[in-house]
Amino acid sequence: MARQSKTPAETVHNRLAVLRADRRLSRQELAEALGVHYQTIGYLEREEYNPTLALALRIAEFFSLPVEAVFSLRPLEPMSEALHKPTGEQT
Amino acid sequence: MSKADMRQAAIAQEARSMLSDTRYDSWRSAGRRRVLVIASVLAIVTTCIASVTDKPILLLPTLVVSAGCWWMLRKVVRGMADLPDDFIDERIRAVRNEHYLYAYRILCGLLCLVLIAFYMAADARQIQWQPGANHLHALFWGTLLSSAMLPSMLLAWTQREI
Repeated sequence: MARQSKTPAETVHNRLAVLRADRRLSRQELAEALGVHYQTIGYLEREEYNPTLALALRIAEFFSLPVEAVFSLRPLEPMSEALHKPTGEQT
Repeated sequence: MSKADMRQAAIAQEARSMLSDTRYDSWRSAGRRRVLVIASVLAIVTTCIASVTDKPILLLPTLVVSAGCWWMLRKVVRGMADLPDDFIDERIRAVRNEHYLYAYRILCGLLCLVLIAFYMAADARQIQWQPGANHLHALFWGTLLSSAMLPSMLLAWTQREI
């Protein structure tokens, strides 16, 4: 049985793995906090499963971030780049 | 706490223990899961053959093996095919719904093929073979076992990790 093919636009990218590592949480701990199975966290981190809007909002709320900081339809830039963007050359 | 609440709590406890069960992890590798699925298919086919040959001495052991395969499949997929919707998360629910659709299509296709064959054989004068009670027994056991095991078999075959 072939997995349903996804066009790039259908994949929802996320920063879940980075955020989880940042908070030093195990998959089990995050899963319990969100009320999902621990394997679902793995599927989300590997971007093999697109969460429903309700779950995406719960995840964003858990990390106290706006949902667009956690999920995006375009590939997300690395957190290090997002945190330390060059502000342009100063004269 | 009312009886209904106690029942719900018991089901929730059962669902939690099934979903976090690690006792059968050695059987949850992709290779072993597929071996189990092949064994289940063979058990169903053997049960049907035993029904057609009309030998109860052969039917009983094949039914026991089929029941064992059903039980093991259920454990290996953590009851994903059977647990009530309220006790599984949205991903498992989505995966299960998808696999139930495939199982439904496969079962309907197989049943249609067998019933068309029966109909044609019973209706056509040129064909010597006619379906008898033993063939209906085989159809009964095949349908019963397939409908019970097919969703779990598909889950065990296709999922990357369970």
